[in-house]
Amino acid sequence: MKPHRHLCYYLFGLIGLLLLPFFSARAMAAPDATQFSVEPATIHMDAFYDGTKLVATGTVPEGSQAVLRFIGNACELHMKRKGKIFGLLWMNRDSLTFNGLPNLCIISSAVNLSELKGQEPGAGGLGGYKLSGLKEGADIEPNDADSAEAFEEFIRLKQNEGLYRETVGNVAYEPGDAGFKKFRAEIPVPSRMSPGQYTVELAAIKDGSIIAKSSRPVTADLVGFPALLAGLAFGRPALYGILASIIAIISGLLIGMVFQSKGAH
Amino acid sequence: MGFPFHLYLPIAGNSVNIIAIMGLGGVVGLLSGIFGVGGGFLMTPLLIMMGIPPTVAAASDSNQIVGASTSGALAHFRLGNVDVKMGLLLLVGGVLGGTVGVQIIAILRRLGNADFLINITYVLMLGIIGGYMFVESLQSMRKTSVEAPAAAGKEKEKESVYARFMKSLPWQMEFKRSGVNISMLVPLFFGVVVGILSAIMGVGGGFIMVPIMVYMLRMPMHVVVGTSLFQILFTCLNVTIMQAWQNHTVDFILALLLLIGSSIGAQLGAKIGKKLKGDQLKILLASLVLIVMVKMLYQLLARPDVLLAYVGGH
Repeated sequence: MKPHRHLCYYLFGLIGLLLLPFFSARAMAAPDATQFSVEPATIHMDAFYDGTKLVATGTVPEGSQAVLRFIGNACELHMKRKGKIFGLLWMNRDSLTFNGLPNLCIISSAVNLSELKGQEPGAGGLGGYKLSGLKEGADIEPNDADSAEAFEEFIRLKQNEGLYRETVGNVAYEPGDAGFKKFRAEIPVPSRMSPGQYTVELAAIKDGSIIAKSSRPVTADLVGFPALLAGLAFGRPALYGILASIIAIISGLLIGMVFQSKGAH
Repeated sequence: MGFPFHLYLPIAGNSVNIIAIMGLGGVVGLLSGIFGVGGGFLMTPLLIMMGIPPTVAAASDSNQIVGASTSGALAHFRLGNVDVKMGLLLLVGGVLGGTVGVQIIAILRRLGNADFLINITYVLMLGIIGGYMFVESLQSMRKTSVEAPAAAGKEKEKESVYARFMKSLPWQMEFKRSGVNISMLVPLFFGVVVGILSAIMGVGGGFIMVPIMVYMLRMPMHVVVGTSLFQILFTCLNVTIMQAWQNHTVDFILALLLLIGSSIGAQLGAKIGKKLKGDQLKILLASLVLIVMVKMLYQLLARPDVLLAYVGGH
């Protein structure tokens, strides 16, 4: 009987191994327990583009808050810190380099994030999902005692430019089924945006922790006349400069001629 | 569907209100036509306030000044207000001075003092030029109304010292339009001075060139305005092509919108300028320069809203 018993153990073991991915997938399903789509997936920036909005719809686990981040790629930025000279005059002084901070970050939620639990910074919690949480991935050179203040100023500068925002009230919920609720978010897209690759990240937040998250890519493309112009300006810059000058001269002459014919004396 | 009032600018990377940009161009063009200044020292800060990146604002402004100064210079040329010979000499000096100025800035940037020098030069130049012009034109207006003959005598006396020095210089030339006989070295020298200052300050230099033509070259005010626009046209042509080529910062759509407004403004300005007396023109320009100086001084003294700035703008 012993060999049979061993065979049974092997069989159970084998079945267990085969079922492991299924159970582990169920166990790891929490971070991906969100479904959503974003429309449009491509933002067409034509001559009359003046900002737009993205509509994200999907589901999050019941009892959680859907927080969406429309975020751009991280880039290197060289800046100057302003300081006083002779204790009197404000000037651009020290050079600073910011790395790892996105060129755009629009956060959308139904409620004010500062009212929710789990404000401490860290990528795993709500704190890491706010504008202040961007500090986790930031690298500021030189890294000195004033770096924290420099980060705060950076956020303020980007907020003034309309590229960093925490918007409240643009996420609405509807009842769903099987422990999930539906959401619909209208994400504002600023006019001051560069073409390129962006991401809409969705996080389901409960008790200050991210219990599920997911993301969708969004592309911003120049089309029509702006695409033509940008292609010329970056592809054949000398020709572009000469053409810009010639058209400016001709326009100036034409307007001059119009005025001469109207105001002859 | 209504008229789309916004246009997306691919180089500036932002959308702008067409009416606001054309209106801004119109106001600055009007001043350009009246005073013969390019208006860069006014237009660039206003564009930055409207959300245009500083480098794009300055380069696109140069592009629009090409059109506006063509329009303005043409209007003044027809009125006989352009001294081409004087303008060319100032231009040659300006190009030489500009090259020297760029090198000075490069050295100072390495030493870390460039921003300080730029800001201080701005405030000092604007303050000295604006203050001197204001006081001088005010005195001149009083003199002409109260003691015209005595003042004329004094002016002659003053001029004789200055004239003696000028006559002692080699390569004397007659500038018919301006009605002066001076050495060609004089406009060349002042061209170099303005070229250095405008390279340091990052502007066309019209608001420095105009007072120099009036007080140092003793040119009549109406010829000064036309000749200044003529010289600015070529300076900004060079800047536009170089900025587009090297830095990709010329937004042609932005420039065209500004140009439509500013060309119309420049034409109106030239007509208004013709109706104003020389002293009135000088006192108005002096007031404008002093207002900009006070604004810049305030910016230096007041705590900025954000204590960070992008590299490239000042």
